[in-house]
Amino acid sequence: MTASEKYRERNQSKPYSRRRAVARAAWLQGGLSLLVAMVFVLPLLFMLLGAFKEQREVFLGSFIPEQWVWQNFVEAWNGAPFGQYFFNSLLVSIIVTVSVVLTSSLAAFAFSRMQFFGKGLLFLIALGPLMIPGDVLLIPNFITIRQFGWQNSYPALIVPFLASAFGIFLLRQAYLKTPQELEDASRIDGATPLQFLFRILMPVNAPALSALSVLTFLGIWNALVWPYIAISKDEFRTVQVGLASFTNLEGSNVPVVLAATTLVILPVMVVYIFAQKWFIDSAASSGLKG
Amino acid sequence: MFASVPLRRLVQALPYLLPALVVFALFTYYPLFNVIYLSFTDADFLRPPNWVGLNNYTKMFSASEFWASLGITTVFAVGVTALEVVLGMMLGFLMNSKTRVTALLRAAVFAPVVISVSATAILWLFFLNTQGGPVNRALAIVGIPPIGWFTDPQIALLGVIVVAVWKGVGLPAVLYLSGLQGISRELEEAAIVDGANRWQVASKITIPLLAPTTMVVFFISLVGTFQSYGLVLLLTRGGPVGSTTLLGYYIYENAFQFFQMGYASALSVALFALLALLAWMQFKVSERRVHYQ
Repeated sequence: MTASEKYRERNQSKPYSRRRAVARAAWLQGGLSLLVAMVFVLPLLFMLLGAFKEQREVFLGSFIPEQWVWQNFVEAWNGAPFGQYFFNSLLVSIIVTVSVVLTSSLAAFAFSRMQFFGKGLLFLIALGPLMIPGDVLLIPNFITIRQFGWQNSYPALIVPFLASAFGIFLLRQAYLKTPQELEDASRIDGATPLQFLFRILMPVNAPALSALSVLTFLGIWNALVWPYIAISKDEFRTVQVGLASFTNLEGSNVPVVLAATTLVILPVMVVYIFAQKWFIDSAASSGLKG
Repeated sequence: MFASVPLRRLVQALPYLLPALVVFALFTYYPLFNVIYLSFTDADFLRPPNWVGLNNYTKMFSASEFWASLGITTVFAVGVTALEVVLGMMLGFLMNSKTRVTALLRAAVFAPVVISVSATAILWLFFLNTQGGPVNRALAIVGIPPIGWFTDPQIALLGVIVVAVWKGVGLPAVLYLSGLQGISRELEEAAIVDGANRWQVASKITIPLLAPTTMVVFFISLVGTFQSYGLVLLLTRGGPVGSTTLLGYYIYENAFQFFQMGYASALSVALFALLALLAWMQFKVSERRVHYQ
């Protein structure tokens, strides 16, 4: 009899009161889960409620708005060029994501499937950026983009992020696990290495590519410090930098600020609610690199 | 020729590597050397930089603001990391149960991870607002006077820690969840058969088996907090009276508000040295085997 069989037998032979205790523990767990979930959601809930309030009642009165002021959202949208901000964020995030997937794939392909002189050293150089925090590079990179004349431009937001050491690492792990037979077969069929990469290796590793995509997109979409420093014109501001200028609550129309925040959170939350597992699994796979 | 085959292969591989390597060369390696060079100069935005030797470093080591920011960074990093390990593990256990609200719990705990720093800052500036924020109003009902979560120099750092943990703990929780799901039930069941109670099973078996996850969470949190100051930039701007000036924010302030690029570069080099030390510690610790399976 294995331990788990013994365990099951013991559980089945539990007296009635013991089983009731187990049921009570399940209720307790459920109740606690609900409570903890509420604690995490509460700040978001109050933001949402606050966004619908009249300016004078936002810090007073009941927590539920007396009148639901939808006008706050109109004012928020018109209070800053949010259309332009969203367009900039979308443009930058899409270009960077596509580029990171491509550049990481190409490099990971070479590191996982080719033998060449200096491979070890080049691999070290390719993963080095993982060890060099971006904050340390803020000043010299700012000077670089000034020298390039890129201050207040899309290239400042895009070019430094076109490749990712993490992406190379993640995809190389995936490509190493792909059976060699696939490559041999495609070579016999006359495919070039690039055709093999794009038609076979990338499609069969879709889960790793999608994890890299969602993490890259989210990282760039949510990025704050670099775009905050590199951009000073509305024309090129991203959503996050645009929103950051609302952080002075004193002396501003608080419900409108909260409405603006809601508008910025909304698209990400909608995607998150529908593709929650995708987000969580991707993040979990990134954590395992450590 | 012997060398020609491997070299030819290198030439074949280079087109695959160059796109990434060029980006790294321009925006990681060149700036790394540049920041070290700049730390020995009086660089600002106006004049070409002059060599000043070790001046920036002597200024740094004698500046009380530097030591203060180092202390604040340590408190912040240790506080956030400890909370993320402990709460992350507890949340992982709770998320591993199978109740009707487990899916809701997972969604709620991880949601702040996908919300941006800007939005996080604004919604907490409102939630913990000294005058009339929902939390202080709830406290007022039970007779507690308003707390200056971001305005009281004694408390502001705690306020920032609370926000950082709310925003960050979802990842440790998920890592612990997948760690728990990877543990074989056999050992726990055997211990129960031998008469161990729940707490003994958790403390003597499950938590030790989670040691690899704890290692990962510990260093991800620690390294992350040592270099994150986006929240401080928007929540408190380092104040009140410098009580939340993390090292990263101190660098930002000197570089982009006082335009002391040379001095800020020396600070950046110090931050890099600190993070390198942490990485070396991580390497040393993970060399000693923490894996049970």
